[in-house]
Amino acid sequence: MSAEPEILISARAASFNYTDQNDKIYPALDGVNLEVGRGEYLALLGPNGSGKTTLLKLFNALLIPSAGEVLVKGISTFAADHLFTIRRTCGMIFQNPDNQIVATTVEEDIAFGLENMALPPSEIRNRVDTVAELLGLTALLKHPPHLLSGGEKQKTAIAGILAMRPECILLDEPTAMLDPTGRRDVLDAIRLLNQEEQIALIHVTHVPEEAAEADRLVVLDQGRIAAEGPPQKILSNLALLHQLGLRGTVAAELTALIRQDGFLLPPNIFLSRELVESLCSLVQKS
Amino acid sequence: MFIGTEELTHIYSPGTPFACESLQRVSFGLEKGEAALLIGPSGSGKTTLIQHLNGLLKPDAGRVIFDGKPLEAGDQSLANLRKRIGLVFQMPEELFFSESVFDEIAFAPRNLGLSETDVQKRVLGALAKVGLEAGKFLTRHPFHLSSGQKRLVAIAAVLALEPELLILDEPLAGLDYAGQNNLIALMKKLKEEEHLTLIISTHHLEEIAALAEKVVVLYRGKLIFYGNTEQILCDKRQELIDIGLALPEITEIIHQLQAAGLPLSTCCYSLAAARQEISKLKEYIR
Repeated sequence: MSAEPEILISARAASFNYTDQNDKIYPALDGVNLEVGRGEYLALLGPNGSGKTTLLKLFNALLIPSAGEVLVKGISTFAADHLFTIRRTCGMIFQNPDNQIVATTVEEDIAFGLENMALPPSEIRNRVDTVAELLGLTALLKHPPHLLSGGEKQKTAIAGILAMRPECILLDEPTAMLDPTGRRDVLDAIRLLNQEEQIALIHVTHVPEEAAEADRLVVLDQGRIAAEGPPQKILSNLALLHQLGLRGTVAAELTALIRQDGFLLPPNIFLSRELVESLCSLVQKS
Repeated sequence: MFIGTEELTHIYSPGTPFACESLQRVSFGLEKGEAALLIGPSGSGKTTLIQHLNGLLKPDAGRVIFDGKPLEAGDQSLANLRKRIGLVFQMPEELFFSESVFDEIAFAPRNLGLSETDVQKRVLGALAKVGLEAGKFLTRHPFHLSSGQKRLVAIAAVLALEPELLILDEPLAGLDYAGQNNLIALMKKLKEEEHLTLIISTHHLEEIAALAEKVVVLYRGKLIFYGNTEQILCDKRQELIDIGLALPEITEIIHQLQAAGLPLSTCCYSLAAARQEISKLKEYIR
């Protein structure tokens, strides 16, 4: 039996307010209670401004709650002397890779965190090469990041975090700037890390098809948790998603429309494959 | 031809070991009032091409034609051209630097040397075009807006130049479903009501494909396909998939239904079109 607790991160009635220069308060999170288990793959969905990024920032102590508390491995993020432990536990991938690339070549950028962890050079070399291989960056290791495409830059940023082997990776729309291949590569890579290395993932996304791949889905709206559960259950509730200004998967949206037109399909379809199969069995092939 | 290129070539870091031919003899042309999608995998040269279209980069060979004249002809100063060619960068809100929405949008018109009265007219006009209420937004701090609102302010800041050609680099990245829909509707309005010529680079073809007549496909610096949207997305489906692009999920669903033998004739790239196409199957319901 492992002595490690099963809960990696917990938010207890966590709230956060942004204030402007006139001390006007803009509430971003309002009393969020959420626990993330060791090795869990959690997707976070919600409209712009619902508090998704703020919640991620609370999880690696970039922000400290205005009320309530956030615990990472049982350590409160209020404990300033444990910031290093918290941030090593929870690696963060920002929406825009330009915000976290620091070095003049891809390999130096991937090595940056490892050098700060004071690992031996052979271990650094080893880890850089392994993550580069995993993400398809091997040919680019000597390239300057500013001449890479957006997708290649994002993979460089992800490689730098993966190399540090955190227990949890916080991903803030990591595929927003990637092409379909890059998106697939990144999703496959993080899924692999989740399954093989048991790294917990908290994946903020606007793409329901991506959220469908998680173990659990949390929907935020106006700083509060609006829904929580298995992705299938939430993503087939189109009424709820539409009410929050979100969409379901394309298959679920199309199913709802053609059901209105008299096609008697099951109501809980949310994968394209399911829609194609159901429609084919409903319609006589000519 | 209103905007286009002739044999345009661009080399990054020429004469160094990092020399990289980012664009190779690219030629295409767009008529006034048309909209084109610029697609291609990460690193295919989309952003480089865009930067040539308003003279931010100089061709290593070939040229850019705007309104019948080469971009660097002596009588068209670049400053003058940039009034007519608006460019909205990727994640444009990251370039914000003003303390109010008004000042952010007023930056370009003020640089044109307009009177403060005219500047104000331009700001109000641009804000109205993107559908933000002046009373609510003019004095807001741009950093405190939601992502969707920030994107609209960034676009308004370019529209305040009253350009004839609007180029948008990945305009939908990072926006939620409502924000994306809102922006697609805005681009449609700019095209239909303001008669702006649009060039939109995107990895995201869902719904946006329906507003563009033309598609330009770049792959490894070469223009591999250029033509009508339907021609490219339907006839070149397999070729696009082979170079790592993805068709809209809705197009794929219709394609899979066709492959399964259902009598569907056209390819669709919007939900509405797919619904209409599938409704033809009603007579075949068992």
